This record gives sequence, structure tokens and C-alpha cells, in this order.
Amino acid sequence: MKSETARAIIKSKQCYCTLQDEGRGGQNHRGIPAGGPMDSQARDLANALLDNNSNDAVLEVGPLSLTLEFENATTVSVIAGIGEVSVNGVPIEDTLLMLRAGDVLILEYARSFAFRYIGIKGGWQGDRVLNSRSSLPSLGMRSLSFQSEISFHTHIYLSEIKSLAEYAVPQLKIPIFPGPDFHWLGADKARAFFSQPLTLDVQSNRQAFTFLEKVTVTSYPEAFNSTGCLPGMVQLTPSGKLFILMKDGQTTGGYLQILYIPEMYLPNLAQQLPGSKLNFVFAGSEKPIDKNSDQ
Amino acid sequence: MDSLVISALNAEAVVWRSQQVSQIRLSTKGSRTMSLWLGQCAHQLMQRGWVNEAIAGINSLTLKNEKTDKWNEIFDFIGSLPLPKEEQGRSFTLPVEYDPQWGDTKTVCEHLNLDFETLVSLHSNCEYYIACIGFLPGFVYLSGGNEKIRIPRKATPDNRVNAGSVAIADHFTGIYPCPSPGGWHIIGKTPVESGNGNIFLQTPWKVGDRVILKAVIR
Repeated sequence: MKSETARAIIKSKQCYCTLQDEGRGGQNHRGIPAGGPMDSQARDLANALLDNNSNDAVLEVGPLSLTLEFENATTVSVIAGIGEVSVNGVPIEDTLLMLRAGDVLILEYARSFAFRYIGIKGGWQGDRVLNSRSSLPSLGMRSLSFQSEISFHTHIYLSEIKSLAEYAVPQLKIPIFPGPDFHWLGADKARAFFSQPLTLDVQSNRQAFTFLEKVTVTSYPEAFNSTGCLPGMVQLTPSGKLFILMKDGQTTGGYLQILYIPEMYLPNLAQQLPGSKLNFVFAGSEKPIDKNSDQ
Repeated sequence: MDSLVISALNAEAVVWRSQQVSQIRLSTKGSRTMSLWLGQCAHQLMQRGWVNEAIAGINSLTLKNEKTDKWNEIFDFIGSLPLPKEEQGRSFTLPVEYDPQWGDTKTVCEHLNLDFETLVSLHSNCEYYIACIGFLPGFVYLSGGNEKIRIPRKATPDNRVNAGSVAIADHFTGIYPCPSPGGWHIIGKTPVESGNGNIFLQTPWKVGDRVILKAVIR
């Protein structure tokens, strides 16, 4: 095994990708979102296939296509939908790829799930801020875009070839619970709104997911104090738009926090494709958990 | 929804709770005493390792607790946490450059019916406190300013606001720690070294700390 610094270069004019390790939890009080992969299960698989540490940085690739040229040989794992991956123009159905210097890896526009992952032996390198390589431009970290170079350590690594078909996103109905400001919406309105499938807006991103459909707002407070918020909180704007805060969501918000999705369901939500119809189940109780049952 | 009495503030709070997340909203208006208490409460809960995240809002506390087995102890702790000593809040002084030609100064003067010198005097001759940190990493909401300086946010946010911009919205003053889109009215800037990432990352300020803006007129 040899190890030296090597690099891959993004050749797509437009892309939506970030480096993601475990993120930087415990910093919300400074206005810093925790970040981390939108789908930690897919990230874990990308690292496990390479016998990496689970916290090694992976390249998270959103729904847009990505072309990545490798200047050095390496082994990568690719968690993506079937038919989305090619190397030097040849379709690939393997999850572990031995790449040579000059190879071009392409992920087409996502067709199966929205966030794909490219792991690399030893993890992707790059700046660390607050102990994390998870990209966050507001911390002064660079955004990955056309011609960005991403470094890695070269390794010769052989392993059993595994099929792409191993990763699938379950089609769940996502439960949605009343949030702190639920009384501004009410159970009847919530039940009626979530009885219809909702269309995921293409504007959805690592900060927030939103829908084309709007809630009819009949009353809204004149002033609302900025309040802490976390991934899974659903904000309602005066115009009726719902914003579900995701991994890079802002840590305080000035909109009503009307609903809440527990974080365990967010990876499944994150993997839905822009424009797709989603089914939620409104969990009607205003008090989903008994105060005295410490679960 | 449950409620909680915060004895230090002599106030009642509404508690919302899910398995891993809880939010405590105080029924009374924000104040420096409240911010100082909220900041200390968040800090102590984090230091004890009882929560993974603790975010002080203007008059709220949002908590994340992945272990989920300590909620009752956490609520008991919050209910009985005394007021911090005044000296536990620190004080920071920031130079702010004002210029009648910069940013939105002219619009703000017209909206508030103030001349430039009065705006600068009213804006800088007061002692602010950090009421909240959020929106961007290190973005502070400064409260305690002159009541005359109050203006709604812009209807359409600007695409790019520079790092170090000092801006106002509602009755708050905010300082942009990094370039960002923003809907606040820019009336000054605090000098920052460019290309240095997020300028306030290394500033150890907390909710409840005092901030003095020292006027520098160009």
C-alpha cells in the first residue's frame, strides 16, 4: 500500500456536492448547524465498503449530475441508483471501483434517490473547521464547483466487487407531529393538508425542504421572536410555505415552528427526488410523547 | 404542552417536547437579564453534557438531547437555576464606521426622519446586549438600542451583504460575520480582514454579553 496526496477535479459546469463527515455537533449556540450527511446510512455504507473509518469524509452528490476526473489511481465506493454511474463513458454496475489516473467518473442526474455518495479509500481530504471537513461556506470553507480540486491519499486497495443494487431507499409514509406553534394551525387543517400528496419543490436543498403546495394561513402573529430551531422543525411563513429544516438549516428562525419531523425520518425524506409526490402521516396528538415516560 | 416556572426570572414558560427535542418559551418579553440567564442556562447544560445542543432564543431555549433519559432532571435544573452574577456577562467593544453614503444609511435616515449625525449618535451611544446568535454562524442579534431606531426588514433581501456590515431590522442591530444574502438595512461596518473566513468564529461571546459600538465617522 502506498500513500501520497493526490486529487480529483470537478469537471461539471454546475453541480451540487459537498464533502461530509460526521459534522460539527454541539455548536448550534454559536449559530453553526451540525451538518453531516443527508443520508447517514448511505454514507456509512460508502465508508464500510472501503473499510474506512465511519467518520471519514465522503463526497455527497445532490440530484444534479457530476463529472469527476481523477489525476491519480485510487479505489472509490459509489452509492447511487442503477444506471446513473459510468467511467470513461462505460456504464458501471459495481459499487467499488478501481480507478486509474485520468479516469473520468460520471454520475448522471439522480433517478432513484437524491443524495448519492462517493467514498474514497482513507477518506477525502480538505480543510477542517471546528474538527470537521463538512463543507459550510459561511464558515469560510470553499464551495465545491467547476474546476474545484479535492485531494485524497492514493492507495492500492483490492476488495470483493459489490453490486449497486445493494442500496435502496424505503418508501415510507413520513410521520409529522405538532410543533411548538401548532395552535396557529390546528389539527383539522393539518389533517386536511397532509391527506394530499405534496410535491417536493426543486428549491429544496441541504438547508431546507419545501413543497409547491401551500397552507391557507388565516392568522399569523404580528411579531415573532427569533427562536432556536433544529433539523426536523417545520417552519410556516406568513404566505403559507412550509420549510422543513435539514442538516445545514439555520439554528434560529423568525417564523412559526408549526410542525416537527423526528430526525430519524429525515434521511428518508432527504432521498426523495425534487418534483416527486410525498405522503406524510399527520400524527394528530399535540403531545406525542408522555411527559413522564423518559424514552 | 406543559408549563414550567422559572423561579430566577419569576416567569412561567410553556414547554414543548418531542423525544429528542424540547423547546421552552418564556411568557414574558426579552431583556438583558433574561438573555444572561438563558445564555448561562444553555452553557451549563452543554458543560454538564446533559444536552447535545442548547440554543438560546430571544425569550426561549431549544434543546436537543439524543440520550433522552434526562428530561425531567433537565427541567428541574432549568426551573431552579439562579440568576447569574452580573459580572459573568462579559463586555466587547467594536469600532463601527458610519458614512452617509454607505449602504442603506440614506433610506434609513429618511424612514426615521433623522439626520445622519443624529442616527449615528442614537445608534452608537447605547449599551447593547447579545439577545440571540443565529441566522449565520456568529451572527449576533444586538438588543437594547435606542427605541427610535426601529425599521422593518427589507421586502426583498439583498443578494450579497459584505462581512462586517452593521445592519438594523426591527429593533435589533446585527453584524454580518461572513458574506451572505440579507434583508437588514446596512448603516455601517466594522473593519474586518478580508479572506479570513468567518470573522466571529474566534470571538468567545455568548448570549447576554454586553456589546459597545464605538462610532468612527469617515
